[in-house]
Amino acid sequence: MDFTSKERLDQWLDSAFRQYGNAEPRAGLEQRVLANMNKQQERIAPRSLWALTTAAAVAVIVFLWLAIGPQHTKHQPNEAQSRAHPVFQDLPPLRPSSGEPKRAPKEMRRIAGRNRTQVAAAPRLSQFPSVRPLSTQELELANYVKHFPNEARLLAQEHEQFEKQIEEAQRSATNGTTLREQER
Amino acid sequence: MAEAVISNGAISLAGTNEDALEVAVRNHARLVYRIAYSVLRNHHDAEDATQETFMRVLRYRRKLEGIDDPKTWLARIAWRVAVERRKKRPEPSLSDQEMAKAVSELRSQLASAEESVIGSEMQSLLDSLICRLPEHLRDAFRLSTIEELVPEEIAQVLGTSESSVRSRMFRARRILKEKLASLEGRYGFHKQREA
Repeated sequence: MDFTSKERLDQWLDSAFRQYGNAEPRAGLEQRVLANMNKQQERIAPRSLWALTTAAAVAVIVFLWLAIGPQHTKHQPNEAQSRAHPVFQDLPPLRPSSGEPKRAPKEMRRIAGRNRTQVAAAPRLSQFPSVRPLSTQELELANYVKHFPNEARLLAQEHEQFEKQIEEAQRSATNGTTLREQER
Repeated sequence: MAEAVISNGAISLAGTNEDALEVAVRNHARLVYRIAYSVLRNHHDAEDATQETFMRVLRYRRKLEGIDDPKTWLARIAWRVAVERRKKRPEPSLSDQEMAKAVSELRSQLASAEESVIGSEMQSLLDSLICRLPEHLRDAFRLSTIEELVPEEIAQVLGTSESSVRSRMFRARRILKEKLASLEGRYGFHKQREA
């Protein structure tokens, strides 16, 4: 080694590394940092206020849509709903309910039950099934009933009697076959 | 100093978190700057890194009150910020002429008994030698040149043990010494031939 002494090199290294690490910043570093942070905070504050206002507005819109929206959504009309229309409510039933209703198979009942729970999640309606617009056929029928109520009633009664006769004929036919089988 | 700043209306930070933050800036801004400078070796970049460090602290200011040792916490953030910035820059390299000049400066300084200020060439030479050290040695050595940090704090910043830091510092210093000696031999030999 060509240096005057190892000790001198060590001393020099200590001094060099001390100078290497001890850098002095420009005067007023703390003030600049604080001023910058203050500016940043001022920028953040209105942004967070905007975010809060927007979130509140969105929440109100969603709430209103959930409260009012589903009542205005359109559904396909079905028979039960059509029967609920006030025009048909004062008419006698076309087909009398014959005893107990037929029971649905187990599978069907399970599906129906599942559907019922899904419907229950929706907001409760004032009238169920809700009033739906009538089809063209139903509207024509309603007009006829409105203008000729007596004729409509007679027609309904005739239709009812005709259906009864058919049912009796079917019953007697089935009884006849069972008697013949017993005689044999 | 901070009171004067507040009275001037330049700073209007209010609340406990902001007070803690202000205290942190007042007490540790210089340390943060030195850590950044030890990695970046440029005053402008070091100041930018200092600002960025405190911006990050501002983002997580709620944590500041629950921290036992804000100095080490800040030092760790500053270190990460500086290292991220350093990655974007190329490694420094010295020309033969600059190297010869630095070595002649070293020889003249060693010849005199007084402690003298090292020049920019010597600073660049040291930086380029430190940059060539293995990463784990370089990190420990750079932080050890900052007088505010003791080996225990350096260990916390780097996430290692104090003994490991001491060992790394010793090895880094030995390597640098050897490199300087070899450089002196090479450039001193050239100088003798030129003469």
